[in-house]
Formats: sequence, structure tokens, C-alpha cells
Amino acid sequence: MTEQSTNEARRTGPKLSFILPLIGFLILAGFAAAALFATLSGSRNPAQLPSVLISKPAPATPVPLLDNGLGTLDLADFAGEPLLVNFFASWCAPCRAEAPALALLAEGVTVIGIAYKDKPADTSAFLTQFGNPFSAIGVDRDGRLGFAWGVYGVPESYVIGSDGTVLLRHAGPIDRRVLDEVVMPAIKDAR
Amino acid sequence: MKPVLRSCGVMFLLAAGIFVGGIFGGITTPAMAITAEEMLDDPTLESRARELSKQLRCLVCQNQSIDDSDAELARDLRREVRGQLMTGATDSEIIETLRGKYGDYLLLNPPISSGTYILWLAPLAVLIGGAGLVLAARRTRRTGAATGQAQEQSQEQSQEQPHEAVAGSDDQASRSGFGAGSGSGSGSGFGFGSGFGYIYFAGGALVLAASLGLYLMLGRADLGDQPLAQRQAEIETAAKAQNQQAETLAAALARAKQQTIDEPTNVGNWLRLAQAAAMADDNQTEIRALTTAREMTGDDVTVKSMLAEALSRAAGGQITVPARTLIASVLASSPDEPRALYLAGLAAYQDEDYARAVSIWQRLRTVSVDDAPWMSLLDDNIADAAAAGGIDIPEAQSRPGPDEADIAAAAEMSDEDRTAMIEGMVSGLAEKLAENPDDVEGWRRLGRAYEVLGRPEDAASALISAANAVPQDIDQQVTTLQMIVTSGLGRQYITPASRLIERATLLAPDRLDLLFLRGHFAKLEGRTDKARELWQRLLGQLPSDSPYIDDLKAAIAAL
Repeated sequence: MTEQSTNEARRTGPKLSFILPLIGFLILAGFAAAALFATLSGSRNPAQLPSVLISKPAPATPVPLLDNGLGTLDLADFAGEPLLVNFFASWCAPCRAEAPALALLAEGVTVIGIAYKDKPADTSAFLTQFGNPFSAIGVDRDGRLGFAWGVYGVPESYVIGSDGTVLLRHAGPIDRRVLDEVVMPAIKDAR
Repeated sequence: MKPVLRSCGVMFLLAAGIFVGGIFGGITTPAMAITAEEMLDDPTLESRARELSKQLRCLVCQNQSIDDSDAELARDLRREVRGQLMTGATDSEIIETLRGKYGDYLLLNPPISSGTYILWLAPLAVLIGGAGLVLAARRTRRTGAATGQAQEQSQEQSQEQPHEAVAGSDDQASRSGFGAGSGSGSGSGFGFGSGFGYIYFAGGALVLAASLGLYLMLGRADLGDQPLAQRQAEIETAAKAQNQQAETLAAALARAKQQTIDEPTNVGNWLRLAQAAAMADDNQTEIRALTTAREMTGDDVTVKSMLAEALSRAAGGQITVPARTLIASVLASSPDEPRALYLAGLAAYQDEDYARAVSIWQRLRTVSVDDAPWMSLLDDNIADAAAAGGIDIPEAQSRPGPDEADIAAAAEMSDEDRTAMIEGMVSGLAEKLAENPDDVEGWRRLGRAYEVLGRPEDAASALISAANAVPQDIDQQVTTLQMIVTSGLGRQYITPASRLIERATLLAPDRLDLLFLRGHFAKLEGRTDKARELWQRLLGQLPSDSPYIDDLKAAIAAL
């Protein structure tokens, strides 16, 4: 009997009811492995949400300028070159960490700052302490502008093309790696 | 087939348990992050607001709805929802507005779109697939049982019959797979004897080995958490930098305070205390120090203006009534005091009296020297005020510069006169910079002026101050160092220079001109080996056609 069923098994090959779960498992494992390696290599970040603004014109909600609250910030004044718009706040610790990278970026690219939900006096003190890489700073005291841009936390940065369309959103601080691998390529493409 | 069904049953029970647990867990969770003052008075609108909030994801705590989340953003979104409800927007209008800002991810129930088909169809596919498997299993068992009967009756080997082949191999396979066969003929043990038993064994071993490998590579307890550790390190560095900064400022403030205690009759000490307090964001101390300085100087106009500025800064930029009184009294005695003029213009601007703001600021413009540091800010302010008030400003007035007469006059000056004029400007600038040491542009100008005057030591000091004002600016560090080296002051300024070098090396360790400077100062310090090493490194990095190569080789040889 034993020998007989063994022979039968050899002849008919594996059964469907075992192959199917195996295939299912392998597919799932494949997805998991792909996600894991994408995360490790940095090309996938689950914390980065897609922005609905991509390829759309940047919102033009007017906000006052930080310099003594005179005048309003208008991104159209900077049209014709790619920009980086950086939402920051003096109360935000990672905003301090990205100060050196922004300073580096500002050597070749116009960087616009939006002080998000921050007191102007605190913002000024923050800029004195950590340096001011910004060509212009808008004051978004109540977060209206942030809402228009779909900002969900600071720091958050947007690369804007010469024509004023949003090309990239990066949530979280810009360090050297992000600068070299994410921000600079987007700006290069925009040029 | 039975073990398969049994494990399916166990899995079903588990799933049901998780489901039921989830329901009860959901009921017992204390929901409601909303505070009383956020709620709307109208109970119908408020209940609509709650329903909407439960459908919207908080993008900060991504597995909570904005109804559950205490995050700042969730509160903003709750306010936005209620604000729109008050204006009479429908539920779907509100959801559409928010989705327009934050995208589909905002919705806890993802909409069916090309990207989410898998999400919505997968459960259906699993259900259909599962039903198919169960049906197939039932049919196999029925035919298997019938064949078994026939087999018992005939006691014949009938391997060629397709029914029996299917049933027999199925029995065998279920044993090999689960190692717990309940039928007859368990002599083949774990099924190593059967051909595909090996496949399962190998597959299982492969999965185990791969898991172990992945664990050792990425998941070991002694390895840091990958993204979290990195983020925390960043936050820690930032916090450390901030603490350091705060400590430096606090120490400077404490030193300045001590000086006013040691020598309370020195006005300079009180002014320095005011400045340190302003840097450390301590408005109250600044105001106290300036008040003391004002009493000691007998209402000096500059001190009074500084006090007015400090009072306004403490009020978040608003020119307050006491500040206005001070400004008015300053301008009554000296109508050209620049700080008071600037603040008076700002006060007029804040009163929306734009014509007055423009006229005051234009007055400031005419009394300021052309390269005063506030000029560009002032021009912007004048333009803003003019735009806000619809005032036309003549071009010539808004951008005056040295006219031809001024240039001619300067050209006709004797060398002595010109030097005297520059000296006058320089001492004024130096005084201003003592008050405001962060003015990099001012330090650079002062440095250039001293170079023109033939005072290289003073020029080097000014440029070191410029480099200290912008410690992150690598170019300024290098420019200052180059100036020190080219004026032959390296030995004299070796201590401040080595600080600049340290700073610059951290910023750009491989910068070529920095490598040269580092080598130069190493040589001055007598560390010949270090100098040789740095210059050799530079030599290796210079392009082969660089004109500096011969000089550098000679310098290395001279070490």
C-alpha cells in the first residue's frame, strides 16, 4: 500500500491545493520584500504622502512678509527660476537640523521661507540663531497658507518650477542626503 | 484533507476573534479628542461635524481619524470642517475641499480608483478563491470515499483508474505537507519518500534560512532602528545645537550682567547688557538695561530710540504708546535720529497713514549715508507703503545716489582730505558694528576700508568678526584666512585663524584652497609633517594642468 501510493504520488506530481497557497505566499512575500528593500534603499518612504499639488500651480494665498509685516509675499515675483519653498517654525526641532543644508542650497537656488504658525519675534530670533537662507519670508500666522498647500507638518519643502508649478513635495527635514538625492535632482530637472 | 480544513477553521476562529475584539476595543476606547470650545452650538451641525471627522484621516497620526487625534493638524482640520459647516456647505462639498488639499490619503475609506482596485477587489478574490477551494475539496472527498469502497470490494490493484490516482495522491500529499495524516497507510512518515516532500522541505528550509539571514542582516537587536534612529539622531543634534546656542547666549548675558554689577557707572556695560539680552530674546532685561542707560546718559537720543525699539520688539513688532512717546520726544530734539525716524515711519504705517509713513521714510533716506545698511530695507518699505496708500513716488527721489557733482567733488579732494573722510566713515561704521556685531556686510566694508587706509591688522580683525558673524559661511571663513595670509599676518593671527580653519574644515574638508591654507598654518605652527601631508594631498587633487603645481612643489620642498 505504501509503495503503491508513493508511486502514484510520483506519477501525478504536486496537487493544486498545495501549489496555490504556496504561490499565494510567495506573491505576498515578494511584495513584502520589495517594500522592505525599497524602504531600506531610501526610494520608498512610508511617511512621505503624495501631494495633490504636484504639476499644479502653487497656491497664491497672500501672506505678509516677515520684515516688519510690510507688504505681502508673492511667489510670482520670483517666477522665471526654480524655487524651494520651505515651511518652517521656530518651535520645530527638525527645522534647526535642516538649517545647514538650506544654507548650502541657498548658494545656488532661491529659497523662500514660510514661518508656519509662529510669532514673528520668535521667527526672527530663530533666524538670528540658525542663519537665514531665505530670499523672502512669509508669515503664515494662523496656518491658512499651509492649509492651502496641504501642509501636514513642519518642516515641509516644495520645489516650484520656473512657471510656478509644484514639482516636488518633501515632508521632513532636508539633510545632505535629501538635498543631493531628492531636492537637487528636482531643481536640475526644472532648469 | 481533514487537517487542511481543521487549520482553515482555526484561522477563521482567530480572525473572528480579532474582529470581535476590535469591535469591543473600539467601543471601550475613550474617543473624542475634541474640546468643548470647538463644538458647534447647533446639535445637528455638531453631529454632522462628528460624522465627517470620523471619515477623515489625521495625516500626522496616520491611523487615527481627526475625531480621535489630539494632533495640532487634526484640530485645525476639525475647525476647518466646522467652519465650512457654518457657511452651509454640504458634507460632500467639505470632503471635496479637503481632498483637494490633502489628496485621497485623507479619506479613511479610500475611493475606488485605478490605484485602489487591488485593495477593494482582493477580499472578493480571496472569498471566491476560498469558496472554490472548499468546493473542490468536498468533491474530491466524495469521489475519494466512493473509490475507497470500490477498492475494498475488489481488492485489486487498479492503478490505471484516474479516480483512484487522484484520491490516493491527495491522501499522501496531505500527510507529507502537515505530517499528521489521520488516514490509513502512515508508513511513509513525513513524506520524505515522496518526490515533492523534498520540495516542501527544501522550500521551508529556504524560507527559514532567508528569514534568518534577513534577521542577522537587518533586524538584530544590536542594530539601531533604521529610520527612527536616524530621525532621533537628527533631532538630538538639533536639540544639542540649540542648547549650545542658548547656553552661549545665556553665558554672554550672565557675563554682561556681572559687568554691570562690577562697574555700574559704565554706560557701555549697560548697553552691552541690552545687546546681549536682545540676542538672548530677553526683552525685559533689555528694556531694564536701556532704561538704566537712558537715566545715566540723561536722555541720550540714541539710547531713547533703542529703548523705543526694544519696547516695540517686546510687543511683537507693534509700535506701542510708550514707544511712540519716546520717538516723539527724540524727534523733537533731534529730527534726524535714524532709528527714531524709522520707527516713526513704521508707526504711521501701522496706523495705515501711508502718506505720512512714506514722507517720514523718505526723510530718513535723505539723512542717511548712501551705503547705510538699512537702505534696501527702507526702499522696500517705502515702495510697500506707497503701494498700500496708492502714492506715486518720483523715480529720482526713490533711488538717489551720488550725483555727478558729488563724484567731481570727491575727485577734486586732496589725498589727505579723502583719507580724513574715509577715516570719519570708518570710525562711525566701527561704532555701529560694536552695537550690531551680526552685520556681516558691515564688517566686510570695514575690512575693505581698513585695507584702503593701509591698516592690515585692523582689516584682519574686521574680517575675523565677519567670519564669526556667519560661522556657517565657508566662503567668508576662507576669504578671511586668505586675507590674513596675503597680508603676512599669519603668525600674528594664528589663534583666531586656527579657529576659522577648524570651522571651515568641518564644513568642507576637501576644499582645495582650504587644504592649502591648512597646510600654510600647520607650517606656521611648526607642524612640518602635517603641512607636508596636507600639501601632498592637495597636489594629488589638483588638475595636472594647474598653474599652481610648480609653486606648490617648491613650497613642499622648502618645508
